[in-house]
Amino acid sequence: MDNSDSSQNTLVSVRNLTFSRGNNKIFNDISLDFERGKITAIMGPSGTGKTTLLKLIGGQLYPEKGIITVDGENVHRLRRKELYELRKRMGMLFQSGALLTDMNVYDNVAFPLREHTHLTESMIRSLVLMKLQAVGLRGASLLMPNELSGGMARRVALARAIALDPMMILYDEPFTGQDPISMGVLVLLIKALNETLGLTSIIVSHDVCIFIIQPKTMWMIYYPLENGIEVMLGYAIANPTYAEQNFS
Amino acid sequence: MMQFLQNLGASTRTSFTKLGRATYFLIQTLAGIFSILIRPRLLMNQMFSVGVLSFLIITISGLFVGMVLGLQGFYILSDFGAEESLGIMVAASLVRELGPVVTALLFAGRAGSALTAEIGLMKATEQLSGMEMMAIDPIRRIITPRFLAGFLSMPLLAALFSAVGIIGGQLIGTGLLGVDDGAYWAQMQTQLDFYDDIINGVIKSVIFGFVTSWIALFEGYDAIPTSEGVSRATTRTVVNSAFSILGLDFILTALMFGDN
Repeated sequence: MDNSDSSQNTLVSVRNLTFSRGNNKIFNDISLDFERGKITAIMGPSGTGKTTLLKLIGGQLYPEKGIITVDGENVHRLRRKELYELRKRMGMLFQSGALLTDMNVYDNVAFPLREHTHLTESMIRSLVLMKLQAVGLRGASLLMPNELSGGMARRVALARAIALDPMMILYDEPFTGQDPISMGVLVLLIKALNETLGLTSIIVSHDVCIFIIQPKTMWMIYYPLENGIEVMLGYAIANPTYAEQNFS
Repeated sequence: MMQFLQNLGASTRTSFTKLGRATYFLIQTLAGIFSILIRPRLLMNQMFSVGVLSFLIITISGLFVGMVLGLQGFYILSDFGAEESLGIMVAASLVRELGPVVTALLFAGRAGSALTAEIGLMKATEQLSGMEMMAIDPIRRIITPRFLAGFLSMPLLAALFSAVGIIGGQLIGTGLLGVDDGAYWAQMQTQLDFYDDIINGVIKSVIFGFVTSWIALFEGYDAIPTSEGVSRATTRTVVNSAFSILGLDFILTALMFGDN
């Protein structure tokens, strides 16, 4: 993998992206790459459009200008069906967990499997319990989402995100509002998933705890003050040698 | 003056964009119907929560409305010595007007507001975006079954309302006020027309079901994803549904019974 050219190593590439919400220009001509099989972190203060970037990558929002490709496919040029096919290979962990509140934990994790596969119920059962085991919540399979703590809900959501064995997971602020212990559990989980399943992980966070994960690449998004008016501009600083320098 | 014109223009534009969004939403919802036919279980679950759970309120309201009609009708008809016509009076009022209209109003209050709140909260808690990211179309999975359930439940509930109302009228008319039982039913049988009265009433309730479900689901889907946004959307559902039901009822009545 190391010797192959950069386009093969890049799973997600963002080129000359411009995006505004109303009159606020959130991204102005930014370009960044996300390496295949690695953890990439995006940091920046809140309101800089980190979550927006994830939604753009997932095809939920459309850019004004620029191209976003995921696994070689231009996300915003795909037809609806093709986009959905691509999304089956992506998992996303929402800030709130986004669990379906009318189903228990087991059914939540089984939900994408039941919708997208024709597996038998016994097969689904083994898969679901395996995924729940991976996040350490096998015993909680019969609880309803409102009976879970914030950290547990996020772990269940993680189990659901990996249910279809995606090639990449987008994490939206996974550490917000977590106590140190469940944060530690999540950090270990994200690392373990990345290593054992070879997932590409993109983590968005404003929390410095992201350093514990030792991402391969770190992108900073910030906005400068121009003439005293806050102008939302996206800038990206790449530091690919970051991991080597500091941790390994 | 300019300011007024600007505001007028802006609010007109907002209303039309919303109408456009609502129409697009409806088209997407209807496009999902085929996928529901393959999975009737989704529809059945919604029929239960939208239809079956509205059973009690519809039955009790129908009974009381029928009883009131029996009382009022009797007092007016007895002035003309026409108490025997109580049956047809109660049945025609219920089947043509009160059945579809009152059922639709109750339905908007009971099931419509619940649908808006449910969808609005699903949006606020990112469940809908979550589904989209799992490559599951939330309109097909969540909206279409609820829409179909509302659309199919309404005529059934309206029929139930009318039937219970007629029994309520009979309880009061023949049981309490001494109208002849045979006359009550016989007048109804001879004078109530299947096509003119019953089918027209059913058409009304089908249209009300369509409109109420559409409004309720769209308001939820279009709600601002905050507690306040959802609460406003729920209010809008009830208010807009009531307006549309009553307005449409007038138009439909004029079209159906205007030439008599």
